[in-house]
Amino acid sequence: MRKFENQVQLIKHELLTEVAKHAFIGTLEENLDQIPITVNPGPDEKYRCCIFHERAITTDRIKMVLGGDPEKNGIVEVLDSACDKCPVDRYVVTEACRGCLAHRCENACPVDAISICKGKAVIDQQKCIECGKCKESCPYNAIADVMRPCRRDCPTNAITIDHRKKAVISYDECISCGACVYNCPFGAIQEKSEIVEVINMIRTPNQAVYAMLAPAFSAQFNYVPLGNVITGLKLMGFRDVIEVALGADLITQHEAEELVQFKYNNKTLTSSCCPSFVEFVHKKFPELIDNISHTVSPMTATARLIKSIDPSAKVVFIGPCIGKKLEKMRVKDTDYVLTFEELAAMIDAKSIDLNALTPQPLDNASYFGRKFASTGGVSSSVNHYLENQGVVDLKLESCDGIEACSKALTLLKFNKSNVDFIEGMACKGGCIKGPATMHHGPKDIKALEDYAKSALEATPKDALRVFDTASISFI
Amino acid sequence: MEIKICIGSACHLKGSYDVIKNCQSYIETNQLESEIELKSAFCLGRCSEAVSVQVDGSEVFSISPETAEGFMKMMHTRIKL
Repeated sequence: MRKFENQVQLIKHELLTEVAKHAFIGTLEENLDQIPITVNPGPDEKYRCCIFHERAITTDRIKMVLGGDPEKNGIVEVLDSACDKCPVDRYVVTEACRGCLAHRCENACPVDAISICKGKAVIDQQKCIECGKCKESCPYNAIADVMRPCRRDCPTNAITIDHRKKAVISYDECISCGACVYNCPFGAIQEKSEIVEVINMIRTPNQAVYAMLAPAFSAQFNYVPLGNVITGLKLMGFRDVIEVALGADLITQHEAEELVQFKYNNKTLTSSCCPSFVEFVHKKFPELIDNISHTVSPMTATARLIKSIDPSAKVVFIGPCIGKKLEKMRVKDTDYVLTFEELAAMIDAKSIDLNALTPQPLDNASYFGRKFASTGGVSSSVNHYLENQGVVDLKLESCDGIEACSKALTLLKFNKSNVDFIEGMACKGGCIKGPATMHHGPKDIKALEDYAKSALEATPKDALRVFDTASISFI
Repeated sequence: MEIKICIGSACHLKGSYDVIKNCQSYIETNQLESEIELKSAFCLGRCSEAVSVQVDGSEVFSISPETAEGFMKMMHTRIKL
């Protein structure tokens, strides 16, 4: 049985499953009004103030499951009904304040917002500029930073708080990394879904629909052998399941050759696999847009490969990533993008008991292609290819998380960078730690390594030897 | 004649890349390039058997790298007929 990391995951799963159930049997439209009542039957509330509030939130979630607000130019949206609990005052004095004599907090505050009242520090929130100096100065750690999790974890400061104290996303800043979706403890930020479109496509007679599974898959479904999930996918109606790691193999050579070209022109190349990193460069370092690799992502390469073999194919990327939904809006080769959470819901909606299935293999890609799912994988694959070509004098840097990416890009912007290649991964740890993975644990990296090592083909070149790659465009 | 060889995961593990190689070399040896077109395909729905090979979009055969040459000879005869 799947163990849910938290209630937010469970609530989302229950709703997605219910919607998928109806979509699979073609009864979604007439049951849309009923779903909030089915999911929140009452009469007592489970999580919120009352059953009606819970149902209102479910109604908002359903809108996201059906694709969200087309007017909003982003992938993630704040659910107004669900966002209402976070304190807006960032720094607060806690019970731990001893009312000491030194008053370091009072002295540290640059705007005189702190006074001592009845032996305790008091912050005047009208004056506070949220600099955090009081917190740093207190010897008792008595001042708490209760910044809203969505704001704290947004790497581009895209989230502000409006006059109703609700979170608002600025899509001019948002890079669709999904950090807020994962970190909001109330599940009040959600991504747009295409689950219904995918199910409708699967139900279309004579339509071949292929699942493209991201290598981070290896760290999912830890309660069942991975091969059983492949069987489940085919049982659900997918014609075949192809590894996105094969797309990673495909682009390795192209990206490596591009790197050599850049080096020759004394330019630094930045990677193009992670859509949120690419978006980050576009929005925060526009002067470096020319440094981004023109090579398509493994997702796009896999889609093109499948369509070169079966031109009538519809292809569905299934991964840990919310940013891929953004990439799909920009590059049209992939038809739909699903997350592992959405896949798990589809499996449950079809009442497929994964444990009862006979496993089927998933094996096309090489060790290196599979390793793209953790930070450092892209660099090591590119480096391995170049070493085999006799190119050994290149400096490659892997940036783990947006903060590290930002540092490397800042150096590059001011011509202080001494690396030839910057691999940018928006999620710390890489795709296996993506926002839409079903669990985040210390064993994820080991699971990926085991999966990578089990590949039949050792190198990208081996994995691609039967493909007519000349006919596929990688830019 | 169009021969499609499955390169899906199950067939890949059973040696479909070698089946392709062996079929290709038969075609080259016998100069059949203009008569037989070799293509790859994804799952043909017979994952439990050997490598699935489909001829002209209908019949599906199960071929192993070892039986690939024999299979090609059979196809060669069909063309001659």
